[in-house]
Amino acid sequence: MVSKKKNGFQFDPRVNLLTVVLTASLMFILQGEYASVYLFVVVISMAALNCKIKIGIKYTVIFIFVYGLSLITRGALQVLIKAFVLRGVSLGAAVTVMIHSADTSKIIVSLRQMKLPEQLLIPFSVMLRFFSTLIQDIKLIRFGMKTRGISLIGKSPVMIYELYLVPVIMRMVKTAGNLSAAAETRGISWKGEKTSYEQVRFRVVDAAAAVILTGIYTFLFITQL
Amino acid sequence: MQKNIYFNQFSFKYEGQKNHSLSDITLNIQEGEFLVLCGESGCGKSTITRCVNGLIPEFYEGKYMGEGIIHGRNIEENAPEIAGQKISSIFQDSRSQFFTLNSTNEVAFSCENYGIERKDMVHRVEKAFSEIKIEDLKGRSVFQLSSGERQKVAFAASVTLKPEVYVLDEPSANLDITSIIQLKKILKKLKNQGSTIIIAEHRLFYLIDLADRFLYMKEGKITAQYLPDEMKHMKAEELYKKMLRAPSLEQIQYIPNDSKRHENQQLNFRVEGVWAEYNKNVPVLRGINFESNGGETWCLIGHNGCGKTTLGMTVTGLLKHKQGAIYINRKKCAGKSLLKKVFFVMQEAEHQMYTDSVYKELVFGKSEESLHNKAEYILKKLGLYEVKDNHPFALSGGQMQRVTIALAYISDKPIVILDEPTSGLDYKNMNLIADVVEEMRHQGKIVILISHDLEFIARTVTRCLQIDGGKVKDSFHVSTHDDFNYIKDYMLSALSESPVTKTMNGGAESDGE
Repeated sequence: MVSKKKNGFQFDPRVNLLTVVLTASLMFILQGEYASVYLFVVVISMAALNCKIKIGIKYTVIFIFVYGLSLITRGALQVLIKAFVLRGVSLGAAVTVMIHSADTSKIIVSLRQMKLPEQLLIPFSVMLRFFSTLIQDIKLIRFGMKTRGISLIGKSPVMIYELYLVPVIMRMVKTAGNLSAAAETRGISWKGEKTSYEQVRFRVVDAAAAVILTGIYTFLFITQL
Repeated sequence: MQKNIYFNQFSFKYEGQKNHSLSDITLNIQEGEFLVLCGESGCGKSTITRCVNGLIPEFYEGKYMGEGIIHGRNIEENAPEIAGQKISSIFQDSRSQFFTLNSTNEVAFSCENYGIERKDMVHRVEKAFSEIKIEDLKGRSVFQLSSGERQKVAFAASVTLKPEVYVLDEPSANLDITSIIQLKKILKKLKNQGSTIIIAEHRLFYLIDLADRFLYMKEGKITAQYLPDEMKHMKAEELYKKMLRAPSLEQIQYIPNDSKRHENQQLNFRVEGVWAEYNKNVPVLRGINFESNGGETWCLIGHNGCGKTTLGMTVTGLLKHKQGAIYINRKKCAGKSLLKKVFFVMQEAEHQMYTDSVYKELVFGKSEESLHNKAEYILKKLGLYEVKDNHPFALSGGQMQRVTIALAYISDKPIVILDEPTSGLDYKNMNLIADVVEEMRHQGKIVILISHDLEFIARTVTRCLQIDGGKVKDSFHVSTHDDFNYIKDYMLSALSESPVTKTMNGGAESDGE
């Protein structure tokens, strides 16, 4: 469904999910010098079409900054930035646009309509739920570090990674336990047929967008621009 | 179908645990009964609720003995998705019980799972919002809701399936007094409807007029049973012996202490005309002024959203102030210079743990030898010594909270801010934290408490800062019963609303709202 809510035109969640899946699939396959730029242009165009202008601007600034870094660095660090960080920005933008364009429930409904098995659907929806809280958790962890006087300056990337990763993962594990328990008592494992509060319809414009997107990514893959 | 819940000589041991969490429980809960399970943390209250809502033995695995019959079903057949049709559960942490990110979808979630036809579902969702009187919370992001609002949405979500039993596990743990009173009103409506209600809870004051009986548990056993009147008139010594929270807020008395005055002139903290905001041109703090010497414990009071936590974050340096100045020992401080002097303990303990053991957490980033004695002392004091080698995330919520207090104690920063340090804690652990706060004050530190826990405040406060609309409304010393009674009366003003008079079926009206 193309929803024209107060926050503007939005594609069906499946179209935005397709952008995420294709970006994630191609981000390490594309070899061309400017592949990361092409990927980013496609993703940012999708952000604009979904009326996610602020997200688009934010990620464009990040992309330009990281691209600049890739130009001034050398050696392994340059490779790391070009191969992972720069392409990761595109994936991050695609995921952010998908989450902000539709509530988790709409995404689940649309996937349920595609007859995705519940065994896959439930973990996927849990993942979406966690992605949304990740930024908030990271912010609070940063606050915690500041007040504990833990500075990241001079610490190795591995140490920085651990400092953030340990509390994020542990928080997720704990939340996952609580969330699963609550969901079980609310019938998530009920074997009968499910219904949906949200109504989602796949329209012609969504189909057209999906075809064009697939075409662009296929072109990038074949030509390896 | 049998509508009662029955346990006969029932015992349960969680998988991997040495001891039984429930031992020889015999209990019959009648249809329409309002039952409160009380006792100190780890006594088995939550385990009983999990047996009722089916999470035991399917989700939380373990071995059981004896008989457990829930609405005519043996406990083994009472899987959570089966029980969930008629038994609704509400948990302590409303944030992690929400599966979706939007309040309306959250309320519809159970109906979707049980395949309620959409037209009927829409009607049920609308009705739930109107019954709980939270129409204004429709379609909101769950992250933008306060703890109290989230708990109300959780209630709306629970009524959509028209359950017969409500099982609640410490629903008031993260709520302020105003929100607890609103929770009480909702429970009263459900009780008037004839629902069976089972609550595991530390805070008893809001349940005293609602409960039919209180079961006191200790080490997995039901050791006593009280009628509301008996609980209400239980002597203070008896309550404290049982580690129970006060059954009435009016009973809470200021605890004068000979050493209340402990002023440390070496430390001076002055906040002068401070303004702060999260969003541009939407100030939360509007010119806050206050001054303190060392050796004081401040309590910040004010209604939800008045800026208490924002003030805490601003004077810590976590949030930049837009105007005004903050001085420590007459030296202007901001950002990093504040962070070097002020320690802030956030509400969520999980965000403040970074290592793989409790002991390492305390000495992290410091010279271990110099802190060894102090670390051992505070671990013993807070009852954490036995778990000092455990991973912080393997601890219970209450233990983690105590670790954050230990971190504040061990820090050499002279100013400590604690944001809701006793939420969800039983009497024993609340008292332990109160002792540590007192000790920090005696050391000459300034402790600033953001707390709704009147019993905790009664044991620790020496100064009070009342905030209203981002401004200081009043600031005073607390050294007499009258001073404390001002704080108490202010907090209890939420209680003065009239009681609910009609049932939900009969029109859902509460006079007080």
